[in-house]
Amino acid sequence: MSDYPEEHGAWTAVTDAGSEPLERRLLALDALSKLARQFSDKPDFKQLMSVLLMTLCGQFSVGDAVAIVKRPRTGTYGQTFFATGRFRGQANLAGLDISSETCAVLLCGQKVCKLKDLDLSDRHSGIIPVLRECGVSLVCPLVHNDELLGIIGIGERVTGKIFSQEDVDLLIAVVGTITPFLANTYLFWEIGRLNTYYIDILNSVKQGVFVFNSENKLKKINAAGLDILRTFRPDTSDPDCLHDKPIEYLFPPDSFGKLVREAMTAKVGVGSSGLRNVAVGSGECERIYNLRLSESSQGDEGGTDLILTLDDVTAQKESEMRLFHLQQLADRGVMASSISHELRNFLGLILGGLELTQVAVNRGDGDKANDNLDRL
Amino acid sequence: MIADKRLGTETIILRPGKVLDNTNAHEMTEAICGAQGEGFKNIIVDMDELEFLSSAGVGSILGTVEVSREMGGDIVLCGPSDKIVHILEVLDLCEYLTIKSREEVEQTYHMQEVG
Repeated sequence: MSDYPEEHGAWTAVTDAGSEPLERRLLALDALSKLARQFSDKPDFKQLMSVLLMTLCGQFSVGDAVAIVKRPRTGTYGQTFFATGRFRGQANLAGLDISSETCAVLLCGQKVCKLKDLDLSDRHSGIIPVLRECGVSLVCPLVHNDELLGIIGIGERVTGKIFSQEDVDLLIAVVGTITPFLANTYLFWEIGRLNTYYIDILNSVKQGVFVFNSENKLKKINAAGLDILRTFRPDTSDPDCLHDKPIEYLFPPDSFGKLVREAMTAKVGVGSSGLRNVAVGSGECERIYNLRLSESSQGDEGGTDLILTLDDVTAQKESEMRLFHLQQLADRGVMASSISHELRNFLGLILGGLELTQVAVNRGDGDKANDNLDRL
Repeated sequence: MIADKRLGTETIILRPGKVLDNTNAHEMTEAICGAQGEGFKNIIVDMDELEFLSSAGVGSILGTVEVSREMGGDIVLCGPSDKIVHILEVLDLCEYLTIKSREEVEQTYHMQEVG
């Protein structure tokens, strides 16, 4: 027996099998089991496809392989293209429309098609002429739950030898084994890509949105959030560099002290989510934000994410202040006119009394004049 | 991580280590494509330490070998063990791929010592 590690067991068996077809099947089995083991823990669809194509190349002694995978019920925009060797630069392959209609020939019972054997005079040959023109020799549909997931094709053998029925059977076995796993990993990949769409949606929002994980480290930030950080720190780099940075790094206490305290309070559950105004910065660079804090239980490993939303309301607050000052002035005006009205009444009485006194003096009526002055 | 050693402007040695399989096949492809992009037409894959070569490892070389040949060079598998050679035999690739012993490589590329 070999002294190679246990994880290379199937490979060790290859060296003892003695029959080439059996050895090749064992190699394929070994490769597929390793693929499954490698990617079941950490589904990485792109890398899986890349390694799968390289495995097919090695297994079938070809230099070129292609896979086109698509989302169900979508056109070419929902497709992803993977290729090795010369197929990498083939724009014709990358632009193929994979659908049940264009792949009808591949779906009519045959699990693997040798393209040389197909009759291209059939007007329903769909993508086959392009595949053949590009040098694809064997092509196989990826079907999962009766839904076409994509196609896999391999080029000519580097040795120049033609593919035997054994090769075709082996490809059927390989693809049949790998397709459910591909579908599963593809699903994970699609879910992962939702994050990208999520950021697109966040970027269309005018509020700055910051998502922190349970350790208060940044998970996501939108474009408006980045603009807010740049208001206080013009050297703020792109979002990728900010990823995983702690909240205190993003919001330095000298400018954002109150904001961070609010956020931390909400985090430990003392405060609650809600809307409040927070003034940050100092001197010339002072801004007022509507701060909204909320928690999401969608965090990593059951943790809770903190979603912090900042809406710059500085201009709105300044307008409110101006309005307030105008209101104060108006109130003072009303008060002044009221006082002057009261004074005018009072002065009118005095003037009237003085006029009557003057009339009495002119008449020589001293008693009447004295009475008027006493009343005043 | 695929280690490399440059020998002048045309030849480079790539060392995959003990295994060349699913875990590092894409790194090997990237290393080879990178070297080809830099103009290295002779790429020597040093298999002295290699204990395990999977189909993916073979595929990483097969998908790139034609480019080196079109550049007037080749990808040379240097010093594979008998078991590695057997795998290549099973895959019917011993004639297509250039397999040389360490001594042959040193002689062909006029090197005192490949390692």
